[in-house]
Amino acid sequence: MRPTRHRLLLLTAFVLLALFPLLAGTFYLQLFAKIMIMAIFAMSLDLLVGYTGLVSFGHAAFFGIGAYALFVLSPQYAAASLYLSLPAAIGAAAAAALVIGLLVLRTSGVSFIMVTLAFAQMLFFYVMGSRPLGGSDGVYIYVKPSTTLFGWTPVSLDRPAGFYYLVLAVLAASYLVLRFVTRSLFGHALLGIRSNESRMRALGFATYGYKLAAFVIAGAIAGLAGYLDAAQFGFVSPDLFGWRLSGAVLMMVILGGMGTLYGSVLGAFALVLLQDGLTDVTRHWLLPFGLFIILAVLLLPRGIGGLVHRAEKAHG
Amino acid sequence: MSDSLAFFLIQVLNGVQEGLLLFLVASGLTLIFGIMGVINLAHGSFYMLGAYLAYAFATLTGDLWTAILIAVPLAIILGLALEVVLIRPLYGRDHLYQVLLTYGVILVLEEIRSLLFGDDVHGVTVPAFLDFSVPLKDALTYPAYRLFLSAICLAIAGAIWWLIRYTRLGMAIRAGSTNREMVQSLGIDIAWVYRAVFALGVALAALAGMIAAPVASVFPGMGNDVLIVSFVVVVIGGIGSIKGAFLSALLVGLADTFGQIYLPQLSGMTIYVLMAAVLLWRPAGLFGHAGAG
Amino acid sequence: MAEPVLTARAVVRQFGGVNAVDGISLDLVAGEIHAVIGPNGAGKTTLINLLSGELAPTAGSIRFAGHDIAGATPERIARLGIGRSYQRVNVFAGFSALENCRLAAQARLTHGFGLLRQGRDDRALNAAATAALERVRFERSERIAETLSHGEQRQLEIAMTLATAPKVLLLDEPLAGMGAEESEHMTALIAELGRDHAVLLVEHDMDAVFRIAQTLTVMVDGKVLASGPPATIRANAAVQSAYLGSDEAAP
Repeated sequence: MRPTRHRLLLLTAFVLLALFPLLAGTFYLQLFAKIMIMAIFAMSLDLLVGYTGLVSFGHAAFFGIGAYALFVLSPQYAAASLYLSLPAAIGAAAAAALVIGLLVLRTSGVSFIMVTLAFAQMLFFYVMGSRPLGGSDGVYIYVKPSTTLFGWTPVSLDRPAGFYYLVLAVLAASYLVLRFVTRSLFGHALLGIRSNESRMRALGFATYGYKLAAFVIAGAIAGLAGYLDAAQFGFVSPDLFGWRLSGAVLMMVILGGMGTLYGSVLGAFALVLLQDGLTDVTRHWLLPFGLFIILAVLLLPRGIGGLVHRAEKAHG
Repeated sequence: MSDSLAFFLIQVLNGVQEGLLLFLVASGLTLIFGIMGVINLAHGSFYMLGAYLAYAFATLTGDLWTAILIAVPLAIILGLALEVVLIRPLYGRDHLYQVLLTYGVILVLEEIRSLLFGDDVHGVTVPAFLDFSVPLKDALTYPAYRLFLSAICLAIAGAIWWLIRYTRLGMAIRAGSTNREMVQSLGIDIAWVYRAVFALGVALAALAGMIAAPVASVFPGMGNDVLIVSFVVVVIGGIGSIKGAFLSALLVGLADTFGQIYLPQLSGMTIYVLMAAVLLWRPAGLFGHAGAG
Repeated sequence: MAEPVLTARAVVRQFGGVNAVDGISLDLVAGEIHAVIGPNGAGKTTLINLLSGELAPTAGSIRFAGHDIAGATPERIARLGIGRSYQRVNVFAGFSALENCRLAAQARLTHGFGLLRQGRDDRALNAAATAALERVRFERSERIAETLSHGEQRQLEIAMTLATAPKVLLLDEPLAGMGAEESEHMTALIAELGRDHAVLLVEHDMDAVFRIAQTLTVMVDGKVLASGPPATIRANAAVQSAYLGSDEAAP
């Protein structure tokens, strides 16, 4: 797609999303906010999977850390400050990504997939067994974070539209940051690593460091998404660390077309809407959902983004 | 023997038994990966299916052994069907797609289980002739069924060892997935090898679920729990290594058992700490090859 | 003779009881092409892997520009100034030739991760990449690597190695699988490169080797059978019977 047409489409999408609250009621505002949170989460994983070639099956670990960070930092019956708690949550997720990354990046291929899953499970079990963190039942955050700064409150997160705009802003910001990163020389190096890591090393790149940096950036943004998720409904549970979520977000990246960033956003929309639609129909929605995933992998090797790509090629 | 020694012995026996069961599951996983180059997330689901099938047939026939005799072939048939329809398209494809597809399979199998058997936790009674306890000291005894369980697992481990060392299939297995041409030049049809290995792996996992049912109870999340731990076992032991899987499974079983008793503040994280330590010291696992996977 | 830039002494590499490289010593001098020849399985590629850091020696020493590099990581050795090309083409398949060389140049021309420099228009990188491609006379650099012909891919291999501005070139069978005309060009290129680099050339093409190399080392079973100027090697009876007697052993 030519750059200007591409940019125009993205801008249009952003404007449409910005205008959405004028038309939509509370239910759809909350649904779309949830989708955008997943989109941020998925984009962060795309940096790992689509750009660096690191298939992490434990990315939910950092999502969960961001979410629980809000819980830990929120006073029981008062609001945490967005300006303090949000950076702290990102920092916590980044720190965890650094520690976990140092260990898991010593492996590659299938082992990497397994150990990322294992570490996420470790956190899952840790939180499950932790009374202060609410254990298996999860725990509530009674008051949403406040955006008050020096007496001025720009937006109230209790209003669905207010929260929606915050998430939209964060989505746009994350997208721009990730686009900047992937277009930089660092991003080019990541693509090189994905294509042929041993050649990269033979050319002089310290690939371990690059992978670790990508892992930390991805973890930080995942933590950001997790924070927003906790803020949205005020409830966190160990499932936020679970393999189901790690699998779902991986599916979003692939379905949408990895290595494009906007593909992950598309994938998030598709998957959450699908899930929402299926849960209305049956309690056993995971069955058609699972079948959908299986068929998608068998029939669409390059995701929805790939379909778009092919359609463009056909039209010249 | 003294009380504390007897207690310690009980924990050792428990740890070994847990480890041996883990070996059954993990050996299938490492074989399937080592030979076919396929990572199968649904492996744990077969463990779960085995347990539920055993429960269902045991309730039906009143006898665990009959249940096992019926359920194992059923599990194998299901496994072969899956291999043909879903796994075969994954050969040679990026691990990413294997992960996603088998993730979908887990979801589907779980819901099927939910539809067929419900979501309750079930127990399976220990077969009558094994329902006694071996006395250790004074009031401390050890369930005979658990000893029997360990014995079966050891026997199966021995059978696997024999299979790998002394049969043509075993030769093909040792040649590994990097030597397809060599395997084919030995006159062995590679597709048949893959099918056999997959069926073997599935059977082992399902059987493990069945014989573990009397001591471990049958519950919805059991497949995924055992899958994760099996991954830890395979990572520690080294991908593709049966010997590694055996030693690592025992190590993990003992670490987990003793961790729960003596280090409760770590709340079940012992095996992950162990995995982290192995990653620091030897990323390819105890018996793995650097660059495998 | 000038001071050697890279020296290997008594280098040994063992693989499960077999010494693929068994006590090799050699020197590489700037401006000189040092060819290593020998039958298949003699350990030539292992030798290159040892010098480039892809393998660590079991014993022996390797020194380059005052550094001890035995067992150093490939990236460290590359940054010190040793570049290698591969026997089997090892490029970034989905990228264009220019992008391949840009990546190669990037390792040398960025400090840190290069997070703050945007990629495609970076002038320094483009200049370095273009220069490297011009040196090997490669045209139309926007073509994708995997669509190139075998000969062109080999050219790209060399270009990538050059883009890292190495002092030492380790070339692993650069002429393999090339037709007569392509071989001519590549041989001339290597001779040219030999004038301002220290080159280690592993090759089976005896014509090319005897034409452009200043020093030859013959390896058999991991050991040095003979070493010296081409004329001496050609006259050496042991070498003739072990290797030169039969025709160029080349796949």
